[in-house]
Amino acid sequence: MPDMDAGSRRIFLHVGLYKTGTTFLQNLWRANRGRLAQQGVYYPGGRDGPVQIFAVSDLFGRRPRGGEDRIEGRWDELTEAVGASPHPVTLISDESLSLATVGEARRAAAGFTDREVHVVVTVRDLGRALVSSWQESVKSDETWTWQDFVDRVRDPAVRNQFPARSFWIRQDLTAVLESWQAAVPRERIHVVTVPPPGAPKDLLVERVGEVVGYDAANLTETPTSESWDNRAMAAADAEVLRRFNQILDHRLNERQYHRIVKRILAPRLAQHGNPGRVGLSPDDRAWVAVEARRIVDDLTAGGYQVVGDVSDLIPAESQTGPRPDAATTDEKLDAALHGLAELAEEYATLWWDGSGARPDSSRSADRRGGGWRSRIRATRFRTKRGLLSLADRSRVAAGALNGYVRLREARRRRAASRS
Amino acid sequence: MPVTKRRVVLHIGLHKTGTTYIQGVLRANRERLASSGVLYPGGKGQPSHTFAVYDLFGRRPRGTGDDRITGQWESMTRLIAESDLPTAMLSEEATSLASAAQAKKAARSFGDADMQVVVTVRDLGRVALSAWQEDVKTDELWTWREYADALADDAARAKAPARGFWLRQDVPAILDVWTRVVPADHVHVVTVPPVGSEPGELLRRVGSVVGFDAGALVEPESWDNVSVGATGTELLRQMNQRLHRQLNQRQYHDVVESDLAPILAAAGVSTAAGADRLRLPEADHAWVTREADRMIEGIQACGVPVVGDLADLRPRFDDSGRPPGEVTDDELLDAAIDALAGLTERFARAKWRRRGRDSDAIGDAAPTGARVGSATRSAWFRGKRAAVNLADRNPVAEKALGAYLRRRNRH
Repeated sequence: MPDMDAGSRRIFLHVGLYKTGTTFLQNLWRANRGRLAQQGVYYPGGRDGPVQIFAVSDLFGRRPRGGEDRIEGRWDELTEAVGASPHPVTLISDESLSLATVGEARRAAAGFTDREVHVVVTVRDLGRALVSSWQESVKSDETWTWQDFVDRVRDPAVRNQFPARSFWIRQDLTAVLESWQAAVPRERIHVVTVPPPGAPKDLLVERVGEVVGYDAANLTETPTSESWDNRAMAAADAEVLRRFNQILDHRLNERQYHRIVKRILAPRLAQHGNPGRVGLSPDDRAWVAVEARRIVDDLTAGGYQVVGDVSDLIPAESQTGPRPDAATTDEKLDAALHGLAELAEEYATLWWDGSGARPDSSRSADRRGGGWRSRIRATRFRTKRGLLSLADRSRVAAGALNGYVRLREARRRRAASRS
Repeated sequence: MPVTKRRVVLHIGLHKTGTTYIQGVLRANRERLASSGVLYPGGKGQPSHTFAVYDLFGRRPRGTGDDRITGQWESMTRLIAESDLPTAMLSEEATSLASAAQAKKAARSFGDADMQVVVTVRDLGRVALSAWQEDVKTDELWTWREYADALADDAARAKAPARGFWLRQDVPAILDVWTRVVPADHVHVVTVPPVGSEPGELLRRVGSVVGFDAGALVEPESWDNVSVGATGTELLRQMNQRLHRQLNQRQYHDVVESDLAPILAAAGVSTAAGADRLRLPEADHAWVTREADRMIEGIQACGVPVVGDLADLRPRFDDSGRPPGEVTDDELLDAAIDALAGLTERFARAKWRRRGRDSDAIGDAAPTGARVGSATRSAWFRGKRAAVNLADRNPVAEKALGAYLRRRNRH
């Protein structure tokens, strides 16, 4: 065990940004908790460990509707667990930390007084962040069309209104860095760029590893969760879900929506559809590039440590493409039907696992002697059905059955003509 | 002293002739029926008509649980034997599937009772459409064209789906079975009045045989005729293609019948009245007319009493509604999204009722100090969210928020 003076004990707060592969990273770290620990990195959580997302919710005072009682006291629980950890390095990851105000950032840092606090910010080019933010809004019960969303994000007059506010508060790197540098010295703030499309996925894990101090090659456990890889959405899926939200009209609370849509429906849709390449119109790419350049300029001027290439943050010409909601009726119908079948199956299974489907024994209490006759009838019925379904598959059996049916009919006609 | 024999009236269907409606009204009026001397079993603690008949046939739908069915027929016959009421009525359309031997067994179960059989019969065109729709609602995949062509083809009668249909709808064959068991004048054909007839007419006709006054019965409040329409039916059919029979009969029934059908029916209400009703395509007029004539002649040949009018059974072809399957992809997409949203809502609520583990608040263990801090942050957060929501509606609040957002980072 290394010596533990203040300088050698560090905590890295990975604060997002949103839509920069955080789900992917977190699931990977979660699955490799043991392997990180072997390298001296404590990633809180696990069976009896503190739940990071609850702790951060508690830090902010956020209480997701329907899960209020799970949050209280969780931030202190986390800081205590970190304090008690023997590992020299701790890693905390929650993209909602990017929303911290100066006060909240300071409060977060103050939770770890015996550690050297570092901040890691993963950043992706603004064009892909825009597409992915719209897709996320759709997966979060919102109903903005793609074009509406983009226009509002672009228009300075409505920046403080939803949904533009919500986008910029998450994606304006300059503002996020400003908040955190009030709580943590600038040289301990590390900006990691997300590699451009086509780059190996492990590259991002490696880049963060360089900062935190783990060897990415050792994180060999694969996450098991169905939705661990938060893939881009196919245009048809996004559009179906958006219209679905319109009809649902916010009748579900956040957690109900999360459980069914985020955990079941959206991942099932993603498994089925193949997300084609989507992108920005040339006009939209142009203004997004201007915003992205402003962010990169601020970043460079601020003198923050950057891992990766800042030019990756500016949407390239090649990023123009079909809109993320451009799907044919056929594709949308296919997606909707697929979702419907998957959901029906899940629902039926839930219902089946519940008590509703258990045989009701009270009705059969009174069967005095009827039991064995009843069972013989059951056997005969099953045999007959077996023969009938054979007839549907085998021509010989069908011929025999047909003969039998005709014979019965003829007999009936003879009987009728006699009467 | 001579004792009047008990009358047992077996309403044997047919399928898709308004049996659900009839049974719904009778169920809601058990006491009124009893006061006019008619026992209609199925009340609390009594065997169900359906399970009793399943038991008679040895049928065990997958997922129902054998225990609910075993012994139900014997329980039913005993209940009737022990009743003081002069008449007992059983209504279950699956009874129409009885073979001669099964029919005989059914009749014998009631000893020397005066057995009467009621057969409700409806225009074959409507019946065929409903039967196809019912098949789709029970996880089948065939299109109307495939289905109708099979019904029209004599050579296909021994195979699904024609076999299932004619087993249920070949009126002469069914009458033949029952007239071997009870005298022909004890078998009553009740025709279903055509669309547009006075409501309650069918029940009045049935009542005239059984011996109750239909006018004295009250309709149950929640009698909702779940009509899924051309669009909903096609949607279910295409959904079935993707389900690949992964649900058992009872699971399927519960999801589709109890959840999806009402959702689709409610969504269909918004379409122009009747526009989505199924209509028989012209290609089917000829064979339907031919078969309907055969039914009518068969009934006449049997010499059984008819309540209503045999002319009711002659198919009427009109222009309202639309042929099955003639649905655009856009309509299907709308319906699919409706169904998806409706099902999600029901699913979420079902899951919500079952949560429970979540309420084991771990926060209880937190020391008082931490709880107070936590509660303060929570109140602050709620206040902020309310302010932000206000800003989305109110320009003054929006300006204030803008100023706050700008200043936040430059304290």
